[in-house]
Amino acid sequence: MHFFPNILFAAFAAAAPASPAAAPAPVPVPVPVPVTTVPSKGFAFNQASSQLQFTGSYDGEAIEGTFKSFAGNVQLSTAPVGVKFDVLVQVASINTDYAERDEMLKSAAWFDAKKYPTARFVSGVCVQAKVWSCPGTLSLHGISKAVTLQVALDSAKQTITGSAKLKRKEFGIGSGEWEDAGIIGPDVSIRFTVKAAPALPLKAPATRQ
Amino acid sequence: MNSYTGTAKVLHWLIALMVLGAISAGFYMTSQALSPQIIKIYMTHKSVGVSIFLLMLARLLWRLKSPPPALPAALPAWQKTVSRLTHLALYLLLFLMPISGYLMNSATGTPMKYFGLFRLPNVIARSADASALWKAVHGYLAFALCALIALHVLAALKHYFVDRDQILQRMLPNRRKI
Repeated sequence: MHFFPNILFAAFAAAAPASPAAAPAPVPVPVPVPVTTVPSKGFAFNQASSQLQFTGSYDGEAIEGTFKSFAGNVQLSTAPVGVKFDVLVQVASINTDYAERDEMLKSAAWFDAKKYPTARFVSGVCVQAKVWSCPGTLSLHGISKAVTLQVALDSAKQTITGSAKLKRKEFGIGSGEWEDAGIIGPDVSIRFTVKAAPALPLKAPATRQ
Repeated sequence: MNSYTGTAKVLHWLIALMVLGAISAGFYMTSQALSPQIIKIYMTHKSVGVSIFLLMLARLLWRLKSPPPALPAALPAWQKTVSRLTHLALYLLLFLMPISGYLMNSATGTPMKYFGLFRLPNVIARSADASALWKAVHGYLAFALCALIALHVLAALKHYFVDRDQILQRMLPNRRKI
């Protein structure tokens, strides 16, 4: 499994594209980082301990799916209190528990997983209000757009959970006859749960909520 | 005449029509790439399947209450046996087809609405394996059902055109006497 070195993360956080780009964001080849070198205020995660789910709509009813392969890291800081994310998702790992539907979602009219094999979310520093709000940039299907995650830290469970709402059309997901929201609705929500390694200092920012 | 009841006839022909529609739609929609139009056909196919299941339940209850007319005594024993087995298999498949289809839909986690009117529950847990399993079962049973329907129709036509007996007429509307 591959983790992003935090130095790369810092560089990306600083250089997060502010304007939407038509071309897919260049994604560096992930470099494995031994767990022991992860700074004490950050940690890496992947699908082994975390979940990435989405909910779309079908005939006006919720329909669920997941991505089975992703990796990223979280940086926590205490002064100022902050959280940053960097997540790389393997688009072809999309799973809705039905092979034919998964193939359709990977096809050119939808995620076009061959042409755009990865999606990436890079956040800036999250802002703490009632919940944590993490502004960032999602690069998906060759389109980069500002997306804000709503994030909650749970120090007891050592988890970070979050969600975001997207319009699939904004990322060109579901083109041609699928574009007009008929049976497959326009709104997609994303939820994730990141399990922090118990040794990591999730407690510090969480207790200040 | 030694005939089926009016209720049994109505159920038989209504179900026959719906089964032909569901089978035609099933083979057509699975041969096409998914599109919004094709998904609408899927939705109708599923609702028709649920209706067939409910009508088959009604039909089974009616059959228990009002058994079918006896087969002609002149019919050879082997034909009686084959006839009983074919009808038993048809009943079985007309239940198993909607059941396997419903389980397949549930396994894929697809929301099920009855003709767009109201939601029906998904009855088994979502799983890619279960989706593939029930899809395969539903598909193979469809071919078996087609074979049985062909046998059933050919036998009825043979009775009418070759044997010239009254077997087919038992299931036809009564002739009004003028």
